[in-house]
Amino acid sequence: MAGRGRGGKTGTLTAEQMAMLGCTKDLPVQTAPPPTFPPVLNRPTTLETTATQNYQLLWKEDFLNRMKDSPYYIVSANQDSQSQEHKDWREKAIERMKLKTQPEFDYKSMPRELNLSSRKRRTADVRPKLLAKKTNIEDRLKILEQKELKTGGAEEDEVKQESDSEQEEEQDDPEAAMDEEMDEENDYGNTYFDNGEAYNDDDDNLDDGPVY
Amino acid sequence: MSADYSHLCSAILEQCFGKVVQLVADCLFSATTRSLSQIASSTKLSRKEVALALAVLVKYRLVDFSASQQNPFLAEYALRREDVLCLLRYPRYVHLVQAKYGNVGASIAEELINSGSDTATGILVKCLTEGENKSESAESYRNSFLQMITDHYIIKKPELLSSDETDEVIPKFETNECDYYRHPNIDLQLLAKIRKGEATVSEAKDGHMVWTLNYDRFHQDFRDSIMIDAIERKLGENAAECFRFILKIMYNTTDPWQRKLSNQVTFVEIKQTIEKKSNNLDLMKYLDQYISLITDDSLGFLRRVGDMGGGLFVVDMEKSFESLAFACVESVITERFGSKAARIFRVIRCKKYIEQEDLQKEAMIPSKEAKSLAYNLFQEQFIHVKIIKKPGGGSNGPAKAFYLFQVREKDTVRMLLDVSYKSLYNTIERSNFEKNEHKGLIEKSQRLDSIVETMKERGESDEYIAEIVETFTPPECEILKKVKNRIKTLSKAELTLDDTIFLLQMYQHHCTTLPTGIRKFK
Amino acid sequence: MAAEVSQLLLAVIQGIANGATNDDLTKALPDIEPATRVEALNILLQQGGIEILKKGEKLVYRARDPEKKSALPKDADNEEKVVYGIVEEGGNKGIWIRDIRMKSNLNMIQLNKILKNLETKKLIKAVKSVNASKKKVYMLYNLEPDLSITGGAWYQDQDFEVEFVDVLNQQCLRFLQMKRDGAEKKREGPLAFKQMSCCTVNEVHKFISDLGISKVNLAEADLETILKTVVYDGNAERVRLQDGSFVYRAVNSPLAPTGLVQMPCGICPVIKNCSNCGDVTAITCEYMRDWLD
Repeated sequence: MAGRGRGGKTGTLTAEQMAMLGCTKDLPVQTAPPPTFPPVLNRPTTLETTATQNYQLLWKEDFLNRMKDSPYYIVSANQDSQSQEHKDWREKAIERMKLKTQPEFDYKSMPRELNLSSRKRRTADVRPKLLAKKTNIEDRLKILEQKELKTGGAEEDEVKQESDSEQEEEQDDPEAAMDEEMDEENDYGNTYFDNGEAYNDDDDNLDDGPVY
Repeated sequence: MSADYSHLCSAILEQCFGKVVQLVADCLFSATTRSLSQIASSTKLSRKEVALALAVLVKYRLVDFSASQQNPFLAEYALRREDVLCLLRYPRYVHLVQAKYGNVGASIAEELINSGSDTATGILVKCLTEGENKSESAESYRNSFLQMITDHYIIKKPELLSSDETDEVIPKFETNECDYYRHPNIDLQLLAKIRKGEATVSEAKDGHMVWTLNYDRFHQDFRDSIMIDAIERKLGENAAECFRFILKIMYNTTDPWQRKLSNQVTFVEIKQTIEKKSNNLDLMKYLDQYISLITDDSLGFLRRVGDMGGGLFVVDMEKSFESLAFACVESVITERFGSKAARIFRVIRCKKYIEQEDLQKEAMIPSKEAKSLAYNLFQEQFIHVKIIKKPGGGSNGPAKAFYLFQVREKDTVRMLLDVSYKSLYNTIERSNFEKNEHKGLIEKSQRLDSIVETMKERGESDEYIAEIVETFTPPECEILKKVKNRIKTLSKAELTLDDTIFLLQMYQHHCTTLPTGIRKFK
Repeated sequence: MAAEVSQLLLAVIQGIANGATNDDLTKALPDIEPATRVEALNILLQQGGIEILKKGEKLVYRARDPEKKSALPKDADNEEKVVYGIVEEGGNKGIWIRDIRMKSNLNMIQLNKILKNLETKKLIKAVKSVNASKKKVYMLYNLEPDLSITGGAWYQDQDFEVEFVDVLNQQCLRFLQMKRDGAEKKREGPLAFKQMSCCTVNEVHKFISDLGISKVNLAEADLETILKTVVYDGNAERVRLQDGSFVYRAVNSPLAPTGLVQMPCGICPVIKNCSNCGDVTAITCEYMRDWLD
């Protein structure tokens, strides 16, 4: 996008077409690149700040400060360790405060993988989780079977196909789950705990304790 | 979704939630859905960071998730792109509630914003313990909460389907439209117990009903007031009051987000409502005249479609927002290119298609100036050119063609909307820059403020305090004042820019078939 | 009136072979006002029915041969006759040199020479067209160019009078606003207010004529053209009455200055080039800097 309109090119039309429109003839011949910031016609319109706007401005400032000091404002681990020494007392105070405020997440209504503490349990014991998935699939198969019995006839083929594909998924799934767990282990081992001390603090706060 | 909007979203999210959430959201912006692992590998963040960022985004209703079609145990996440902009509208939502329900309402809205969503009991406990209006009774909080549900400013989230397993991999929800605004049962006695520490929120019986702010309802009010203000500016206060009642009656039978036309409203309905609810004598005396004034006006808000019931009317949303969006486009052209350019733009829009020569005659602008103005408008994509090839141009030379100016309205609005997104992005960037440039100074003043505050609490002498304050040198004061002013100016620009954005978005909703941010829980 | 008189005058002039002087005309038609006579003579000149010659100190009006209508001297050569004929056909709308060339089949050098020749003899003239400044058209010397060539009241020597149009635009708007302000004070209900704030072209014409700002006589149609520009400026609306005529009234914009123009990006000429790298960014922006300080 940048630089368009600088070389005398005119959007979608050729110079000849622009001439037909009568547009090029009167344009001055450009001998030097135009100034980066050419003079403007008007200044922005300025209007009095209304009481409503003042209320909103104050609320907004407050809101952004609140967010910044909340546990939902997440600073990257890498960045954190770099700037750790430069932090002044206030930032450190905020960090301490952040440690005090626990983030509130309604993990029940989120995918389980987002719940870091529950994931750790799963990492500690993979088997029960896989079993759980198994039973889940068996339940689903049961439901499908029932469906098949109910609908019967014309739809039979279709339903069969469906259950076939479900079975395929079932075969794929445990492996995929295993991969995921492995992934996680890698993450934890290599990236996570090698980071700076501030991050360790953070971790203590979110998890019950480090797991190796 | 344009590149300009994507940059804007990124900046807004960084401002509210920091770099990590920004990175995750950027990754989601560019795709329809992504899994946790995909996000982690493309952002180079750890799984833990991504999980935390996603949790934050889900909490603030900015990310939806669903099971992958290939793997029912794999969650896929999608960014609610349109809703990111709503973060900037929070101050407007709170102000609206404050104006309607007072400070109690405002503190309920604020707590709902802070927690993303929560049960009624949960919100009221927070209001009563953390809010600034602790003196208000629990009852008044409850009443306001229920009233805000009745008025649809608060809506129930889809209900979590409880399964036998305590720990569902991907939770499922049930949406029930009749259920959106059913009142929860709020137990005031339990509230009192919780406040005394004798019970916990988890004991409340409304735990399955989670509430959140209904953005669409707020937007409906914003939209109404744009229309009512326009009538007031053009046709006066009485006509504006009349139109406000017409909208009110319209909502009895019309979905507020119906795109083109409202359902019918009769003159008798309007008359009865105004007689009941207004004490504006002038309006009652000349009601039929005010209605025909609005009907005849070129804005085209109201249309007479029949004679039943003293006259049948529809509110023409499509025409309304076409008129308003182009009043906005024209005012931008006036400021940016001058009033003669705006005249040229109006001539083209009015004539649909027009040749260069006729254009300058109609606009009464000298040929040279008309050409250069039209050329500028064309370059900046406010106007467009239609080429009509003459059939059988002959063998010698290029085929002859007509070049006609036109305004492709949807394109013009989309272009201006992108300019607005870019402008909003620029204000945020510039504000961040100013804060960063003067970080040391801003921090020093904050530190000083808090020291002075503690000194006052301790009852130190005024002279001693003044001495401390003086460590902030006059030039430092000067600079700080300047920077604070700049940040305030930018912040105000963010608020007012949203007026333009909102108006143009309403054009897109009512005048096109493009998907828009309007949705409840879909 | 003048048209009828012109026929009478023509009859008198045709009767005097050497051409009629002003005295001849007053003698022949004594009850005609001098002003009407001048007007009628102008009509005849425009139509090409008569020509003016100078005899010593006196002006003489001579009828032109209705058959040939040509005032070409006898000694004109064939090429001159052809070109003159073509120019004559073009009437008072004139004819473009390229078209003369095509019709006459003469080469450019030859044609230019002939045209120059005819021009010096004051038989034809070149007129600049307002539609295209570089396009000259030729017509017979004694013809009054058509409005489409001169542009009418808004042109002085083929130059568009911007200031004149702007002043008229402002004055028309001022009149419409005055009318509306007056109507507002009466408080007789919204429709009466609306009707009273509407102005007919005739009213506006009278107002402008009374102001005396125009050197030339403006027709109502001229003012309608100006009123339309007031409408195109978004300051007025054109309302069609039941009898099909139009009236005009001043209106307010339905919107306050929109948020976008309250900050520099909305009026920025280089917003297209603006991004987060390169010469134009939110941080390096000079408009932003000026606005913030």
